[in-house]
Amino acid sequence: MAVEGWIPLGASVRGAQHVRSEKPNQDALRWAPHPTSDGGAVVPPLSLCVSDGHGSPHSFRSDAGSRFAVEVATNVLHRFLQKNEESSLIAVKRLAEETIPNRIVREWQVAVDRDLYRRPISEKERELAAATPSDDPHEASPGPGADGPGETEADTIRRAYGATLLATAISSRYILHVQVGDGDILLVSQKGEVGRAFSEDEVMPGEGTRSLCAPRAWDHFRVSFAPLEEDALGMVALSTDGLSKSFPKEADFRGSVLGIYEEIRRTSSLAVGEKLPKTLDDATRMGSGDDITLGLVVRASTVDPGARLQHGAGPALAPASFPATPGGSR
Amino acid sequence: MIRPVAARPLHFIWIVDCSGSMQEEGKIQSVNTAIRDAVPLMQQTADENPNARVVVRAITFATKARWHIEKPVPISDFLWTDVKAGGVSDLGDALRLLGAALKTPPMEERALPPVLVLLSDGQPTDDYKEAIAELLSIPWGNRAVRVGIAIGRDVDLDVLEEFIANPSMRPLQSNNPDALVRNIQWASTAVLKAVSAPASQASIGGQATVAVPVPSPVLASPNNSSSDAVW
Repeated sequence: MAVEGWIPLGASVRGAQHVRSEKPNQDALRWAPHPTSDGGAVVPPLSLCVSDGHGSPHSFRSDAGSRFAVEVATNVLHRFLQKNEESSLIAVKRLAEETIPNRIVREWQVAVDRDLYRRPISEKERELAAATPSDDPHEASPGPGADGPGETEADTIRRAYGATLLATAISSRYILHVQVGDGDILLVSQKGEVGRAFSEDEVMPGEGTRSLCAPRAWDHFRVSFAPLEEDALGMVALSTDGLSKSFPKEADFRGSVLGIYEEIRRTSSLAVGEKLPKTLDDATRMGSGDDITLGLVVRASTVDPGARLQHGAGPALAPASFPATPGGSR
Repeated sequence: MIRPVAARPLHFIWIVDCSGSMQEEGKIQSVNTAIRDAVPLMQQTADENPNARVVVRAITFATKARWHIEKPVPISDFLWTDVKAGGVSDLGDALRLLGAALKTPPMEERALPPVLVLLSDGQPTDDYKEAIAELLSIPWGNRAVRVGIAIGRDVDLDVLEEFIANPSMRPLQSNNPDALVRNIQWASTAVLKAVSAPASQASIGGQATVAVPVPSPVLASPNNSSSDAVW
């Protein structure tokens, strides 16, 4: 049986609030492998990862944290897919749940520690990271160790890199979704139904979210596994919470994601990919004000063959959003 | 391609003690003046944060509680109408009224954390503990940034701390009109600004709140006060 291809595309824009405050985009987006040069479909194994750096005063290096998150996650997932391409589906499900979160967290911590070695935290940054509520001029949230069981000094420093993670990994036989923290993974069927890979995050006080930087962060991961069925899934959409927060209601958010899928089917992924940065920019300006990242993988067989012929030369990625680096990262 | 998006609403709610003791030493008039003077600053803060749609309401409580301004008013249109004092201090009733307003519906599915500012000069005369527990059990009540402003030295600060329910934030003590003005301005601008543009916070151990700047200490200094009142 021929292996089905998937078309990756997406964009990431700096939030309107960050433009005003002159802060960088805290989000990151990455695919593996790199899309083909003619913009055609990519054959599995493939993975798509999105991350949202917290951007709070305690997380002053979270733009780096999100970049490390997508790099590490694509590597871990790609290795997992390659190693378990022929394994029984029951075994793959169990292995995914038991090993992926731990591996991602550990490798993320290594990436963070490596960065700390190259760029030691300054004294001022250290004070910021360790500040308690009574003496931190920037925050009124609980300080390190105040309510985090087992939090070490290393955890406290790593909070500077705090970020969420959303990931989808596709083999020829199954699909995995992984999530820690806020953000949304939506599944669009070829019939136009939109569902979530996971229920919306538990209600957190204020703007709290689960994070890669938390002690035992692997305990807070969610992992979903499903066999790939023909004629079912049409598109997977991973987005940071800046996008969903730009809509008054969940139904509006889902409807917009469906609208993107329908437009890809009606025109082409290349055409939609070129419009995405402006679309997301409009959303942040008129909506949440937050950084917005949207990563998509579209089942190639559901795209109109006439539309596929329009891809032509050039990558399927929105070239305005991404530098041409290996791995297709932002 | 994407349906119309919208700035998220930010509900700002004043909860004002209008019990009889607030008539003494001009306290209620100081509250009226301070809130009215804070409105232009709130409007300026809102203008600087266009991704938040600030709407304002107010509850007063004395013998029973009632909505002073029930329908959320866009900050650009908000005008403060003076409140009067008289009666006991039914804080619990006020919090139940507040809780009903924070359920979804009528609250929107997606909104910024509400800001709830409680001003009081004394001790509740009804069962407020259960009302606080109910408020915190409502998702938007729990996610709200709750500020407590103590007017005078007779305030039961434990009550305000129970309302705030955040060990990192203390009640703001106001022992004279100038201190009250400063505290109300802080609640209505610095807190509003922080909630309008919140950054995500890593939830460690299950707690995370909006990062708001800690206010400068308000010293009770009658010699420096523009008013002779010391509460």
